Amino acid sequence: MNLFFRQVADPMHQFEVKKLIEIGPIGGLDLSFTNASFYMLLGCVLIVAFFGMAASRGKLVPSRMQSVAEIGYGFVADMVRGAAGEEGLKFFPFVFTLFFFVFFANMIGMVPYAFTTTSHLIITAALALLVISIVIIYGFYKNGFKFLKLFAPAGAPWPIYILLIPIEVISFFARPVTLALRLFANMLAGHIMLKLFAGFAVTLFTLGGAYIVIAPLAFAMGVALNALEFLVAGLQAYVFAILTCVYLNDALHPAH
Amino acid sequence: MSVSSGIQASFMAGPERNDLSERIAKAQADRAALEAKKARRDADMEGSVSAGGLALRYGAEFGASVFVGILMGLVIDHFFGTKPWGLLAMLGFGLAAGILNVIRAYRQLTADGKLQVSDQSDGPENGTKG
Repeated sequence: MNLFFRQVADPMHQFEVKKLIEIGPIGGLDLSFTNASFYMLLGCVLIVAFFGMAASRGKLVPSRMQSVAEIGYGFVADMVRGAAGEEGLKFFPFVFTLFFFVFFANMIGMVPYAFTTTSHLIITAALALLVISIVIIYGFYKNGFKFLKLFAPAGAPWPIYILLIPIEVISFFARPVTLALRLFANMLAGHIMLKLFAGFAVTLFTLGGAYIVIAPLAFAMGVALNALEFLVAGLQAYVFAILTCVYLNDALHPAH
Repeated sequence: MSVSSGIQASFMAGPERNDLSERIAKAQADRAALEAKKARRDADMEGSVSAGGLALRYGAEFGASVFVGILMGLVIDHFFGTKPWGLLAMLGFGLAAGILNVIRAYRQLTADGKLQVSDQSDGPENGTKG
């Protein structure tokens, strides 16, 4: 019984990374196939399967699945066009992949017993670093040293630049940190809350007696939080993608 | 006999048509009520998300800037041997950048009129153009 309670009530248990297939240290790196790897792979497979199936029988009058895929395409395309302009559309495949990877990872996380890959900082940080690397590399590739104008906005008297440039540099490098942190913190906090309320309901039910009266309240809260988490899962994928577009916009048009 | 009743008689659909338009009106009213209810619920939901989301947003914005500032300070100290001046200076800049980012986030959220979503990039000059 004690073990049962600990299992139910421990909200951090769900975030444990377990090795599924051990792939020994290669060059000092542990390359084991973990549950995190599995669920990322599952997300990718689902995305490919979904869009493959939706696009395989392309019709003028779309089937249900095809129209969902088309809505997804249109949604991301509008997002890129809105935040980064027509030029930004060359990054459409990147943003599209990023959005659906995060979206599927979040949604898979909502399935009971599934592992939420985006609730791990290392994964969101890797995505954020990918985004910022592309912004920096493409920014220098396209604009050359004019890209540095991003850090020195025009129109300030020169002594101000001594203060302004370090501040702008710091706030530029704070971007990937906030990008990673926000997705990670939202998913982590949401899943802990879900687990806490669900575990609370179960504990109250099993305690019996007068606790039975309060148990449905905790359960109702758990159900409400579940709905909220679905919203957050979609919203955070959207926020991640639109921020990527906004940062790409800076690489495309650094001085504006 | 008036013209309109003549037309009605010729179509022989007077009462039926009345019935139909009534039903359409009723269905439209029902739908509008449902939509309004849904919109209100969505707004409530948004409110509850954004209250927590907003706190997280500003916190992350400020914390990340300070964190990056400290990190850069430590790196500078490490490579130039200026301990502890690099850290102190960059911590100051980090705090300033944090406040600047919070102000930008706030401005952008109020400018958009909707809470949620993100940095509308007016670019860096956003902070300097008072």
